[in-house]
This record gives sequence, C-alpha cells and structure tokens, in this order.
Amino acid sequence: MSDLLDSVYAYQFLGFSVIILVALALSTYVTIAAGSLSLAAPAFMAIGAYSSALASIHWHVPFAIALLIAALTGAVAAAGVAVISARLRALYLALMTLAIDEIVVTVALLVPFTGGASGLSGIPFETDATWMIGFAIALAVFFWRFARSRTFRFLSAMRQSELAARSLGLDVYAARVSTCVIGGVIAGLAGALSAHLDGFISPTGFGFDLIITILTAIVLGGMASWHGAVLGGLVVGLVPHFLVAISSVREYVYGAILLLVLIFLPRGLASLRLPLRTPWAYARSVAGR
Amino acid sequence: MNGQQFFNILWLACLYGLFAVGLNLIMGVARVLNLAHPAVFTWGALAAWLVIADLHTPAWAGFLAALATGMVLGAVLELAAFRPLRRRGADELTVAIASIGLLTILVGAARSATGASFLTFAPGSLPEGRLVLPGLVATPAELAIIGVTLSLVLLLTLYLRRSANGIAIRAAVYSDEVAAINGVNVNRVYLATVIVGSALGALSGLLLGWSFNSVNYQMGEPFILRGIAIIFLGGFGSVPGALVGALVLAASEVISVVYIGSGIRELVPFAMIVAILLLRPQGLLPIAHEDRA
Repeated sequence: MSDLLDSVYAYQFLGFSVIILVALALSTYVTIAAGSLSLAAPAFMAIGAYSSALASIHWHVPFAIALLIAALTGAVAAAGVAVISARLRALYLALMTLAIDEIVVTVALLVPFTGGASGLSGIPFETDATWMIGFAIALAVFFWRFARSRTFRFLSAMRQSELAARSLGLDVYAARVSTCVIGGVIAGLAGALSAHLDGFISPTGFGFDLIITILTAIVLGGMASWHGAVLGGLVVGLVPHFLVAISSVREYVYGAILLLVLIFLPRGLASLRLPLRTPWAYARSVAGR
Repeated sequence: MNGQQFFNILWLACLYGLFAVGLNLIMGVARVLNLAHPAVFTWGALAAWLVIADLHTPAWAGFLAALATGMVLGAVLELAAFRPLRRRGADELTVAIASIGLLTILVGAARSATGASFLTFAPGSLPEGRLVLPGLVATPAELAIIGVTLSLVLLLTLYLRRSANGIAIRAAVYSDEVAAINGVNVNRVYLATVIVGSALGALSGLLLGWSFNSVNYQMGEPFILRGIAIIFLGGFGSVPGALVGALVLAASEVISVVYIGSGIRELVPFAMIVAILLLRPQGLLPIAHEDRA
C-alpha cells in the first residue's frame, strides 16, 4: 500500500514538473505570437522564484501573496527587458534575452542574500495538487481565450509585418511590451510554484540547461500555436522519465532534436496532420474553420 | 594602471579577438551566428590536451591537433547543419537555434570525453616560465597569444585584401547573390570560411588552456556571453569590429576588476551590450551589406 502511495507521489511530482515546463514553454510562446523569440523565460522564472522564496522565508507571507509577489516581480522585470530591447528584432532580441538569462544567474550567484552558489533552502513546501491543477487550468483557459481574441489577431498581424500593422494604427511597442510582461508573469508564477515545490532553489537550475530544455520543447512542439508549446512541453517533460536510458545522454538528445527538427520538421510536431485529435477537433478542421 | 595591467589587457584582448574574429568571419560571410563556436573553442583545447598529455607528443603537435580539430568541426557544422538549413531557406534565427543544438551536442561530447574533470598539461609539455621585463611579467602563453593573434589577423587581412579568393569572400559578404552572379562559388566560400573561422576558435581554446593550464568541458561557457557582447560591440559580421570589440571588452573587464572588484567581472559583458544598444546599436564598425546600404 505504501508502495502505491510512493509511486503516486512520484508521478505527482513528475506531473507538477511537466506543468511547470509547459508553463515556461507557453511563456516563451507568448512573445513568439507577437513575432519575436524571447529566451528570457528562465530569467523571469528565477526572479519569481527568488522573490517569492525570500518573501516566504523572511516575511512568512501566505502562499497566495508569495505568488502575487512572483507575478509582480516577473512583470516588472519583463517590462524592463522589453523596454531595453525595444529596437531589437529576431536574432538580436534572442541574443539579448540569452544575455539577460546569464546576467540573472550571475547576479543570483554574486548577491549574498540569495544564498549565492549554494542556493536558497528552507522554502516552505506550499505547492500542492490544488495549486498546480489550478495553475494549469488557469493557463489553459487563458490561452484558449487568448487565441480567439482580437488582441491575438493584432499580434498575428504584427508578426507578419510590423510595418503594415503600424500603418493600420496598431501600437506595436505596447503590444511587444505587454506580451513580454504576460510571459514574465507566467514564468514568474512557474518559478514560485517550483520553488515552493522543491523547497530549494539555486542559480544553476536557471542556467543554460533550462534554456535548452525550453527551446527543445517549443521547437519540437511547434512555435505556431499554443498547442505546440503544450505538446512540446509534455513530450520533453515526460519522455526522459520513461526512457531512462537516454537521461544520461540527455544533452546529446536535446541538441540532436533541435537540429533535426529544424532541418526536417521546422513547424514542429503540432504541424503534423496526424489523426490523433479528438473527432470533434478533426471534424471542425475538415469543416474548414 | 601600470604596465602589467596594460599587458593583461593586451593579451586578453588578443585572446577574445582571435575567438571573435572566427565567430564574426562566419557570421559575416556565411551569415550564420554560430553559437557552437564556444564548443569548437573547447574542443580545440581538448584535442591539444589529448595529443600532448595523453599521447605525449611535442607541443607543436598539439597546435596542429587544435587546428585540425577546428577545421574538421567547421566542415561538419557547415555541411551537416548550416548548408541543409540554408537550402531550406531558414532565417538567421533558426540557424542560430540549430547551432545551439550543436553546441549542446559538442559540449556533451566534451563532457563524456573528459569525465567532467579539470585536465592539466604535465609540467614541461608546453613552454612555461616567466619572462621578466621592466614593469611587467609575462608568460610564454600570454606572449604566444599576442603573437599568434596579431600574425593570424595580419595574414587574414592580407588574404582578404589581396588574393582572388579573399576578394571573392568580401564580395560574398556584401551580397551573396551578386557574388554568385559574378561567378563566385558561394558554397565553397561558405565552407572555407566556416572552416577557417572554426580553426581560429579552436586555436584560441588551446591558447586559453595553455595560459591557465586548465582544460575542462565548460571552459567555453563564459565565451558564449562574451562572444555575443563582442558581436554587438563590433557590429555583426565585422572582422575589424571583432578586434575593436574584443579590445573594448578586455579593457573594460580588466579596468573594472582593478578599480571595483573581481565580482563585477561577469557583469561587464552585459553592461557593454546594454551600452552599445543604447549608444550605437549597429556596432562600432558595422560591415557594408546590401540590406544596410
């Protein structure tokens, strides 16, 4: 009986980790929807994690407040990043966000009150199934409505041609900043949930490995829709657990996946027209919606 | 600021410069941001170590090993990744992401090859010692860095200016379509450039490993951020920009360590990126390109 409980806990933990990865993929997807690839999700996750953890440890705030703090700090940081990178496009923006990831990790290592290289421990274990499932549902509802919203159509216009969008009177700058902020909020919340799940955070957890994982997830799943981000997050989150043989060579596998998918299936798994969808979705697509 | 610190800036700038020239050469000609360059850097050092420390060959064999490794890796990168992507019409960002995948693979391979340990060169296998000059102390490695960088850059400049192939390369930088119309074999130019650029990167890895007597699979990691910083500073794809950017970065790092403290060092590249974006986003010495005319 206790074996069964142990495996339930183990799968629960796995499920939570997958939800967090999916959240990070979605956070990255939001900026892609606006036409720019921002790899700064790990940075905002770190900021959310550290701010909420410090609040929990030193001020003993209720978890809901800690989450709020994470969302706010994530939003503010994202706004700052968006303002600095306002003039950057595509490749240059991606590089800038890579640099920001590195800087956040460096600062976390240097600053004494974040615990430096040994990290921050003693974070209360607040994250449970209720919070995680609530988070997952909130994300699903948000993106389901977002994909059907007028804002999303503006962003799609912007993605295809910023010049044309501007000529139609769309405030491109505001759109870029707000998508970045949304991404920052999601990543910050993911960071807080993750911190209060493990009870411990350290700068290396937000480093290059995480960037690679998120990148693999969105490239594999497909960058064209939020379904792609979810799919990619699920695959990258779950498969290594079940194919234990590859965990030791995980780096090779992620790198190889990135390369092969970009060469052979650039739109990701979500672009495959496989009869895997529900009959309802399939019928809708056939009907031409 | 004394003579020793000026010297430190000089050799650090040369090290960064050698690395960045390779990176910017690939960027400017093949129009690829090769984020796997830091991994080629690491493998240059590793190959030299394997040859010198494991197989006990003389130092010059290590240099050749580093060069050869760089060239082979460059060829693999171009043929296995950049060319297929180019054929599919991939944009710069996509190729950069693919190169991140390659970076991961190569670093993983380096980790397996070294068992994640810090390798050193046995005493005497590479020139050591100290050269005491008035006002400063220099090691053979540091002098070699300066010598190698300056001579290779001079050779490269002469080649690009005077030789027929060099002119073809410069034409391709400005516009590969126009160059192709004029009979330049653009594919061959790309391949040659990636090979040469990677060779420079591998060589800089060996030089770093020699000067600190330490080789490990993560030695290229700090160069990811610094490579990005130098690219932003100098101008994307600009070889002279790479040198100037390397000098600015090296000087800023040394000066900030001297006057502020060593903890600040890792923040300097980032500060440089933000500064250049605010002051001169196209970089200090941007290249001439058809889209930019």
